Amino acid sequence: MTERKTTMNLFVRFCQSREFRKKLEESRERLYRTAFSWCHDPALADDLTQDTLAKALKNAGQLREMQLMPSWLFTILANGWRDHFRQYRELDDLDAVDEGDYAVKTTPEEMHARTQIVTRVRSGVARLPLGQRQVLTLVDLEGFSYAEVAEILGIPVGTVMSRLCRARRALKKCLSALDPAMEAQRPRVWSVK
Amino acid sequence: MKRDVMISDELVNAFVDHQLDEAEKSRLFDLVEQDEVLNRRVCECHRLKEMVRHAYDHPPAAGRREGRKRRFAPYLQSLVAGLLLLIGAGAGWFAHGQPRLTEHAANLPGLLREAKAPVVLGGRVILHVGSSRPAELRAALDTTEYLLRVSKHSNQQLQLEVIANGGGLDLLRTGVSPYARRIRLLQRTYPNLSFLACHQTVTHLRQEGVAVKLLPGIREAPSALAQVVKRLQEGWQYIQA
Repeated sequence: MTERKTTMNLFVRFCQSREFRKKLEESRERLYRTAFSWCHDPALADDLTQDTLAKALKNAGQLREMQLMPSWLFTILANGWRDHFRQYRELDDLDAVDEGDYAVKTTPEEMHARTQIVTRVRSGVARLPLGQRQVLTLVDLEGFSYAEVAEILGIPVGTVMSRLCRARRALKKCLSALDPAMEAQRPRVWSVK
Repeated sequence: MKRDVMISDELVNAFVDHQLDEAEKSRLFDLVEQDEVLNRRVCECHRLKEMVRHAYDHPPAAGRREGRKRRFAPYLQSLVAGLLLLIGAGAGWFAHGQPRLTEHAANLPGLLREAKAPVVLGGRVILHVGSSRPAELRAALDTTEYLLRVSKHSNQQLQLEVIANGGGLDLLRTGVSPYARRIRLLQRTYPNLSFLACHQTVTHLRQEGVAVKLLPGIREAPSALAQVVKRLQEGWQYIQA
């Protein structure tokens, strides 16, 4: 009887491990997309994604339920990004980042920012302070709830809401500033509609 | 009805992000229905969210860090450089006989020249005209003609939709558009081109007593904004004239 139970446990563990690996591989694209939206550097985004997957494999035992896997993975990614940022920017206080001191001021995409929607939006997102950028992309790209984002980034839900609010305001303003023609015509369009 | 109910941006965000409970959501739905200004704020928030999603739908392929990059041997680099030179020379030789762009198309707005027209030679493109400024109306048609012409010559399948709202509707109005003949010519030449007018703009103008008659063959979309968002969701490229 005990032998049968042990075999059953092994079988369940084997199946879970396969499911874990499959889900991990499926998450690669999402992780990469979000990492790219944070750093706008394909090489760095790839590194962060690889590190996240490696850490997830190593610490697979920490995951209590498979349903929690997405937020668990993004927590690892956020921690990895935080470590990288601290390492290369020599920051002691990450909160300072949220004040916009380390927002990307210019990007290579800026040259095309007036012309194409994708580059305009990416350029706008890249200019956001890091904390706002993370909240915005986790909500808009990954569809996480505010509570999940709060857990991933280790901040209160109220902070998530206020950062998201500031991010969207700033992005809207930035998109208008990058495209003066759009801004100039806005009152006309609104008044006609 | 135009009103401006004091609803915070945080609440509008939570509504758009589906973070409200049922009771609060119902209250917001009622308010949005009654309040034009709030309705606009919600639409704007939706639009921004869609734009962010769209911007990262296809991030660039994962690259490698500089330090990990494998380098070709010098003789291979020379070989590749030589091959590229040959290909370039060959392409130039064959391309010089291609028809030149018309004056209109050559006068392409900065938009495409600067953006290197990365993906618009083929595929599906929606071009938005929202201003009645003559330069923009002309630029819209120049871009349209350029895209269609180049796609045709390079055998690329292109589906192009030009949508006009606000002041841009002037482009498609009989008796107002300075380019009625050119539009008719484009419609005849390119079956893969369609012009759409924003129904909301048309209705609004009519309510103000303006007689609006669209050029022949112009269809109406319920709303320009909704049409653009719909096309973006369907994977179309968006260009603003």
